[in-house]
Parts: sequence; C-alpha cells; structure tokens
Amino acid sequence: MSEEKKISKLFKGTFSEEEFRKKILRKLYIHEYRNYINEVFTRDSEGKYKLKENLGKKDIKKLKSIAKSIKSNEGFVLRGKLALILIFLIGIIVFNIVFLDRLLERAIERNLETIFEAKADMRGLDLQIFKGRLLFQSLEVANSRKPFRNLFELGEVDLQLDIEQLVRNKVVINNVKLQEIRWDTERKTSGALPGARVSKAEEMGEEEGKTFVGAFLEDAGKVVADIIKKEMENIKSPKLLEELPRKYTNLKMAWEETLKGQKKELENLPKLVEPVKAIKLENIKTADEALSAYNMVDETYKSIKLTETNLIKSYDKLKTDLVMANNDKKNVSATISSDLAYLSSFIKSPEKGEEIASAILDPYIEKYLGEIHGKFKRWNYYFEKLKPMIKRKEGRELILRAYGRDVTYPCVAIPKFWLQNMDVSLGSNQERNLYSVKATDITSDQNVINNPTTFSIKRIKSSEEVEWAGLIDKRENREKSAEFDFKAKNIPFVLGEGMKALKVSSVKGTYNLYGELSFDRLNRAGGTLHLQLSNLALDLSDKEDKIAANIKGVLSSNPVDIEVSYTVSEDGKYTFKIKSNLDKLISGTISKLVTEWVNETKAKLDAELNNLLRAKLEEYQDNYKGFISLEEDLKGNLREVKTYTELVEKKKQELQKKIDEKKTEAKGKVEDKAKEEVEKLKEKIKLPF
Amino acid sequence: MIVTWFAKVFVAINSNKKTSQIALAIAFAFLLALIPKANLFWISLFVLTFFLKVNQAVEMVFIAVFSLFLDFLDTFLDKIGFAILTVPSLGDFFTKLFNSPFFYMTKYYNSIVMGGLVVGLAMFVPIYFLSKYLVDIYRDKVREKIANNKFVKAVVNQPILVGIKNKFGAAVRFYDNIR
Repeated sequence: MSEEKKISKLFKGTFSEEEFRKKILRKLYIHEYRNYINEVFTRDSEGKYKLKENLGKKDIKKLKSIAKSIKSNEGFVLRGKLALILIFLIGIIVFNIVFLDRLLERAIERNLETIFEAKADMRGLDLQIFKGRLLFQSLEVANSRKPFRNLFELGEVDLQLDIEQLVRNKVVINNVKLQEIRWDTERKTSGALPGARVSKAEEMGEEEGKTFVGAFLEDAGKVVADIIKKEMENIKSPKLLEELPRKYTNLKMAWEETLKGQKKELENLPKLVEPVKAIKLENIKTADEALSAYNMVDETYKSIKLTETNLIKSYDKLKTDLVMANNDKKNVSATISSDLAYLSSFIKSPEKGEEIASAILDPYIEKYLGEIHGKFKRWNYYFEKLKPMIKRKEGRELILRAYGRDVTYPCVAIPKFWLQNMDVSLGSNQERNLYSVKATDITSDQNVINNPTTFSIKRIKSSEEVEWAGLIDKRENREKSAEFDFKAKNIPFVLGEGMKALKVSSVKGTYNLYGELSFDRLNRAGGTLHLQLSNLALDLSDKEDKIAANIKGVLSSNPVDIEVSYTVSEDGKYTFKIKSNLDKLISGTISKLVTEWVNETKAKLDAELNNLLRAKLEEYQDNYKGFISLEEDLKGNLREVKTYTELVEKKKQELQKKIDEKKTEAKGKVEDKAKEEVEKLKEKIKLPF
Repeated sequence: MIVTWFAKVFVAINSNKKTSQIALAIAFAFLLALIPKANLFWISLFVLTFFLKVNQAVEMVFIAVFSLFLDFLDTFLDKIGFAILTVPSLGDFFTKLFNSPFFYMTKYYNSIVMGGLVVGLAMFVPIYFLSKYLVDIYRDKVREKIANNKFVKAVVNQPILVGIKNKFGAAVRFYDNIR
C-alpha cells in the first residue's frame, strides 16, 4: 500500500486508449520513455490501460521522474518567475514612492549647486507624477561670493511639468507659480561648498564689490594712494630700478676684476725696466756693445707696449660701457617723468568749467555701471552653465556591430530644459506694494525653440517703482546677446562719500532713472542713462564755508539732470560721456577750489612716486657712481704704463744715438787707415801723372 | 560557463523537454540576435522570454550562435530597414511613433533595428517549425543511434568524461528544478 501511494497521480487509475495516448504518450518526447511506459502499462479485461501491479522501487522512481517532466512541460507561463518579477517591480515602485521625493530633492540641489557654485537647500518637495506637478515648500541658493547671504530665496513653488517630455529625458516646465521671492537674504550657516575657494563667477572679474576710487576733490593723499595702488602695475620705473642696480653691481665687479689683472701686470713693470735703467751709456765702448744693449731695451719696450695696448683696449671697452651708463641715467630720468605724467593723467583736472560736473560724477557712474555689468556677467555665466548640466553623458560605448542609420521624422523640437512661462505677482498695484517677476523661455537651447529668454522684474513699494525688463539671446548669428531697459522712480538715495573737499558730508534726495543697456557676444556693452536728482538736501561739514553754502543753496532749489552715454569694452573698461546742468549750477563756485586741488594732488603724486622709488634709485645711483669711478683707476694705470714706455723709449733713443756715434767713429777710423795705405802705395808706385 | 550552457542544451534536447519550448527558444534567439541591444524592443522581448516556458539555455546559446553571423547580415538588415522606414505611405505612421515617447525609446527609426525586427518576425514562424521538425527528427531517429553507438559509449564511459558528466549533472538538475 505504501508503495502504491508513492506512484504519481498521473498514472493512477485506468485509461481508455484515447486517454492513454493523449494524457501520457503524447507528452513523452523521447522513445526511451514511451517504450518504458508501454512496458509498465497493461490492459485489463475491458481493454483499458492501467499500471502493472507489484512494480519495483526502481520503476516507481522512474515513473515519478517521468511524471515530473510531463508536469514541467505543461502551460506557457512561468508563474513563479512572473510572481518574483512582480514583487520586484512592486518593491521598486514602493521605494520610489517613499524615497523618490527625497532623491529628487537632492538631485535638484546638486544641479543647482553646480550652476551657482554654492549650497542649495530645497525643502518639502512633492512630485505628483500623474498630475505632472512638482511642488516644494522653499528653496535657498547661497551666494558664492558672500557665503552668509543667499543669492535668492523662494517660498512655496508649484511647477507644471510636461510628463510626456520627462519620459523622453527632457525637462519642460509649462508654468511656475510661486508665493514668495527674495534676493540677497541673510543665511545662518555658510553657503560655501566644501573645498570651494574662489568661484568661477568671481574669477571672471565681477565688479559688484568695486570700491569707490579716484574721487574728484577727495582728500589728495587718498586719491594719490588710490592711483598708485591701482596703476602700480602699469608704470615702468619700478621695474627699471629693480633691474639697474643689479646690472651695475655686476658690471662694477667685472671691471674690478679686469683692473685687478692690470694691476698685477703693472707691478711687474718696475722689475722689467730695472735692467734698462741700469744701462750706462758712458760704459758702452763699442758699437756691438751698444747694439746688444739696444736689442735688450727693444725687447723690454715691446713687452711694455703690449701691456699698454691691452690697457687702451680695456679703456675703449669701458668707454662703451660708460656711454651705456649715461644712456641708462637719461632713461631713468625720462621713465620717471613719463610715469609721473601717466599717473597724473588719472587726476581729474577739468581745464574748462563745463567738465567739472563730469569729473564729480565719473566715479559714481563708473561704480554704478560696474555693478550692472558685473551682475550681467554673473547671471550670464550661470545661464551658460545650464547647457553642460543637462547635456547627455557621453559614456564609452562598446561597439559590437554596425550602428545602422537613424531615419528622422518631423517632430516638435524640444530642448533638454525649457521653462516656458513664469508669471509671479505678489501683492497688488492698488495697495502700492507689488513684486512681479515674469520670465519666458528659460532654456538650454534657444536655437531649438527659436526664441530668446525674456524677463521683467517690477517692484512697487509706496511711491517707489523699479522695473527691469529685457531679453537674453544666445541664438546663433545674433549680434546682441542681451538687451535691457530699466526704470526707477522716486528712489531715495544718500551719498556719503566723495564730497569732503566741498565741505559736504552727505547728500540726500530722490532720483528718477531711465536707461537702456545692450551687450554683444563679446560682452561689450553700450547704452544710455538719464538720471534726474531732485529734492536734494545737503548736510555740510563746515557750515561757515561760503563755497559749501553756495552749493547747498543752488542744489536745494534746482533739480540736477544727468545724461550719460557709455560703452564697456570686452575687458570691462568704461568710457562715457556725461552731460549735466551741474556745470552751470556749480562750476563758477568751485573752479578755484578745483585748481588748487589739482595742483596739490599733482605735487603729492610727484612726492609719493619719488618716495616710492627713492630706495631703489639711491641704490642705483650708488652703483652707478661706483662704476664710473673705475674710469679714473683705469686712466691711472694707463698713465703709469705710459711713464715706463716713455722711459724705455728714451733709453732706446739714447742707445740708437750711441750706436750711430760708434758707427761714425768706426767709419772715420777706417777712412783714415785707407788714406794712409793709399799714401804708402803712392810712394811705392810712381805714377805718370 | 559556455560549457555549462552547452551541456544544458544537450540535456534539454535529450530529455523529455517539450519540443515546442526548444523550438520557441531558437526562434526567439534568432529574433533577439538580429535586433541590436540597448533599446526597448530588445529589452521587452528578452524580459518576455523570461516569463514564457522557453528553454533559456537553448535561447542563450542560440543568441550567441546567431550573433556570429551578424557581420554578414548587418548590411542586408540595414538595407531592408532603411527601405521600410522610407516607404512614403508609412511616413505618417512612423512620424506618429517618432513623436511618442514610448516608441521613440524602441529606436525603431534605426535601420538595423527595423531590419532586424522585420526579418526576425518574418522568420520567426518558419524557424519555429523548422527547429521543431529537426528536434523531433533527432529525438526519433538520431538520438537512439548515437546513444547505442559503440564508439560513443566507449568515449562517454571514459573516467574523465564521467567526472564532467557528474559535475554538470548537478548543474542540470539544479537548472531543471528552478524551471
């Protein structure tokens, strides 16, 4: 009984021939099994198939294995595996529901940190994927230049996403709603990224923190110090004076070495001349003796002459160096003068009364334009960083076979990132408290949508109104990369610097501003500003000063109009023309003051430059003097060698004379002897005549 | 690894595995080999075969075997695919697919993907039946002859092969159990 229990259900019972074929034989795919089954089955009296009785353990085991293989072949789907995969998929979905928001929050923070190079904190993100909405409670992005301040801060934000594009790995935001936006807010913790030193935006020469320099009529000492600090790199005399002392030290050392060699040679001369001196002409009896002495003196003469020739050559070289030294001296003097002239050009010295207003306003305008230009460069830099952030990663692909050809069909081109519309309006115009930010088409590729990014920011607070509107155009073949219009109305201001010389400690008032600004592809900018200052109230530091009182009287009752047209070069240098009624209003009053200030500042600049160069100049002068003094030493050497030359030359001449004498003497003797012999011969031989 | 897969194929053909499962695996292997990997078509088809009673070992081995001939086939598949993708009357249909995020990810617009898909599908049924026929023939006529061949018997009974047989026997049993 126990054995019978172990037999698979499949083979239990009886089977008709049809059943036996369908249920068993057709499910066996190898002969071995079919033959075996035919062997273990038998037919009963009714002709039905049934298992033989008393099968052995081996048979039961084999039948079990066959039954198992038949079972495993049944059906088309692997239910167990399907269930496993389903459980796995459900796990992924649950994981995403629970953790997706947090993961997405972190991913967005990372991307924002890459763009703005400072910490980004997002809170309360909720992605409603089926509704295509993304909400978050707040977002803070720190300022990389000022880690304890935020670049901007957003309150509750509701983004309408295009899910269809998201599936295609493209971020398209149809609309943005937000409750609050704030700029330059305070942070409790540092927003600098770990390991961050100087942000790229900062390296780009942002002018935001530019200090107020070169102020007209400011304290002359401060103006001079500012000019020297700013322009020190651009003047030549410090570099020249850095090189020259070293040059003359080396030159002096080289010549001293030469002189040392000459001195040694000169020391040998007395010994060399000693034998010459010892020659006494009266002791020379014969011409041979004289000739021998002459030869010895001539040898000595040649040696001394050689030394003299060398000394003359050295002196010629020295003269060349002296000419050079003289030129250097002239060059130093000319360079210092030219540097002084260059530095003086930074002292605003209006020659005509009409330029006084321009001189006063220059630093304010430059500072203001610097801030605008710096901000533009900074946001432009962030904008450019959108591109690589969403660029598809290009990994190394294992190419196993040909890639084929991609056939493209017409489709709506969508950039990788596209914020189509943002229209945020906080507060109301009627209550005179409105903050409105509008932007369209913020995208990673403007060429794809063929539209520039436009924006406008409007702030109304009580009577004050500020509005910025413009576009950023990164499309190819566009001349201008950005254009802005700005307006400001009834904005109060306080100026507390740049007017001490006028005995004005501060100016309060309100201003209206209208302007336009455009940038080309090389970041060169150009535009106009129209500024109107009104309700001016001057606070005087010296109430007794007549000039100050006059200025106060004029400006309190007359609004000031200023028109500026300006250009900013690629490297951030400004050139502007200022027209203002300020000249008419105050130039007569302060022209004397201006002349005095200009003269004082120029004198201080001269003194300051001299002071700055003094140490090096003195070092140079010492070395120069030391060098030219060597000329006297060399001249002394020349004089000394000349004395010896003359001495030997004289001796040579004396000996020559002696030789000549002896020759004449010998000649006389020979002639006398000959005459004597002739007379003797005459006596012996009687001649016919 | 490769030897294990081949051993499993050998076991599948020689055991009581349903012929249609083996034939289906070969047909799927042909289709999967023709379509380039890393697109939604290929991934979907491959995942599908995991749920179906298709002999995985046979499928894997035959994907590898068919892949050996792809170098010769790619030019042909490219031409077929490009011809289909540029049929003017199908332009609207393909444009719709191109604008659908799901079908875009299938890379159907690639000439070799399209060529591979069409040729693979067209050959699917013939390959299925041909494979089924060949396996049946093997099982009915060849298998017995090989098994009873004296030379084969002598080789199979060599001690070294007995060791390998035992080793892979364990692997095959494990594989059968998880199926």
